[in-house]
Amino acid sequence: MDTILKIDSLTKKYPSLFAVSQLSLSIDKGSVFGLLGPNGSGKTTTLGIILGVTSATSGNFSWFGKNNSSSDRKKIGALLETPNFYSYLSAKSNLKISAKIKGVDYKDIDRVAEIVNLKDRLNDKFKTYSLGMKQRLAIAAALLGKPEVLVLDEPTNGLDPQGIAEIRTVIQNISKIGVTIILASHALDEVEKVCSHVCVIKKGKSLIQGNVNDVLVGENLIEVASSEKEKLKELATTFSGFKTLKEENYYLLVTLQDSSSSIEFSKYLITNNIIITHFVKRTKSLEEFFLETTKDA
Amino acid sequence: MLDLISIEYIKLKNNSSFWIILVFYMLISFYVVGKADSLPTGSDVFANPLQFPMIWLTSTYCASFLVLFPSILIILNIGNEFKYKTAKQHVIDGLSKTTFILSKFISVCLIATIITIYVILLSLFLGWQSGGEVQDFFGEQFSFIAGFYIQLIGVLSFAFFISILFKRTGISIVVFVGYYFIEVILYYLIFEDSPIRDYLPLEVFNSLTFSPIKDNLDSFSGLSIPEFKLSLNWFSAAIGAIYIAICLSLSILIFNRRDV
Ligand SMILES: Nc1ncnc2c1ncn2[C@@H]1O[C@H](COP(=O)(O)OP(=O)(O)O)[C@@H](O)[C@H]1O
Ligand SMILES: [Mg+2]
Repeated sequence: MDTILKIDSLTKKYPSLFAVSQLSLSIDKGSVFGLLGPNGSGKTTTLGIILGVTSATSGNFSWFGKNNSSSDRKKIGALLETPNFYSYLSAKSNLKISAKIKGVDYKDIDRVAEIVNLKDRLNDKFKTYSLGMKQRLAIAAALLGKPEVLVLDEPTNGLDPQGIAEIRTVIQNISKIGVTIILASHALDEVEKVCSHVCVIKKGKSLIQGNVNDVLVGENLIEVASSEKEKLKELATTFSGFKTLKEENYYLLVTLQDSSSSIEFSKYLITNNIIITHFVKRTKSLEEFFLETTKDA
Repeated sequence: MLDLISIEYIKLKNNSSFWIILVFYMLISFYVVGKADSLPTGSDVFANPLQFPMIWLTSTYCASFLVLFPSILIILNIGNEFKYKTAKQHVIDGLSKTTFILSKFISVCLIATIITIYVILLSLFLGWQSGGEVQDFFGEQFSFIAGFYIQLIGVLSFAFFISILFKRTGISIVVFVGYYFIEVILYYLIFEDSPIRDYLPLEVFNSLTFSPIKDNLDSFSGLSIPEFKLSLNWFSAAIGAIYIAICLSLSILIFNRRDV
């Protein structure tokens, strides 16, 4: 797989704190990479560094496996923190300026406006736009010239549910056509819904990273219930792959060892002639995981 | 390069405060130059200020007096890039920090060029209107147009440097105007007897256009006969160009060294 971005022990020190600390990661072509962390965890700082507007205290990064040059950024579409446009200009004039900087033909403006559903409002001044429209215009600007990579920093921040849904649809459509997306977010469900890979950061440090499914499944949990509760408990604890057991309201929450599978457990119960009324394999939700990993130690 | 010019053009063309200040400047300078023949000059050389070729001295002198207006234009123009965070966005979109500063310097040149062309047209119009016997349309006095152009770029570069340094429009205007007072103090009090005073930046730029008042003052104090320079001092022009280069280089340096 081609690597789009490689970050190596990146550190940014401000006088009073480390905004980013020894962060390393690698992003493959075509992935939707989530940078997940609570407010103030260093997401914007990290993206600012890789986009050339913030200087790193130490560490390196490399786009497209090359030495960094400002013109490489023309192949990256980015929205950092807020949509940055001239409020007194029309949306179209604003997009013209972005197009000129990236060396993209004006013809592309209509295409990107279509994608974010702003075609009818292009001649309106930026200052008349709603927050959601501003955010969409910033995505449109980022899409100019069909970039290989899209960097989006909290693109749904401050939007109402409808606006959030619209932006997510746009992101999903873009990723379908093979654009690599780097998405910073503090909202877990957002990352869960749209990302293929994730790096959870807190206080500038990477806590865990990898494929969303690997990171998120976490533990092997099974909800199981039977009218013969005592028998079920006994059977569960004697199962060879048993790890822990917890009694919930109507069911038992059984944790199995990593090597063991839910199918084996179910077969074991059946061969022991117990009637099972409820059997669900539960993945530990990202929410629980997120709160657990990012809560203050 | 052409792309950068058209970017700056889009930003200026649609900016109403740009047009208001520019038109205001044009009207006032038209009015002031037109009234120049009622100014006391105390010299026969300057008896017919609106006739060719003296009009070149008059118009550039009057127009340079009003240089605060285009300076504020520059300060607003640069301040916008920080206010709207578009300086940041331009770098994100792929301009190097140095190219960004150069693109903004295009605005300085653009505004200076528009005003200089306007002053040339204004002079031609008023000179032609004033009648009189024309000996010489473009005498050596025409060199003051070049002086005026360098002076404009110079003062605007200084305003440019201050706005890059301070980012905020309000602070930049205060510092810019404040520096005028500082330089007056330096000129008349601190460096009173020193030749250094002739090399202070605004003094150098000022010397690029004709100045009847100051030339008179100097000659009174020196008890010499008033003697007007009728053509540009090219040595001062070269010093002015050096100051422009310094303002531009410092702006590039500062902008590169800091997080946008
Ligand atoms: N220019 C700055 N000067 C000092 N501290 C900063 C600056 N920018 C950000 N920080 C601090 O760095 C930390 C990370 O901020 P940021 O990267 O914006 O986090 P996030 O985007 O994850 O919310 C925060 O504690 C923030 O206060
Ligand atoms: Mg942020």
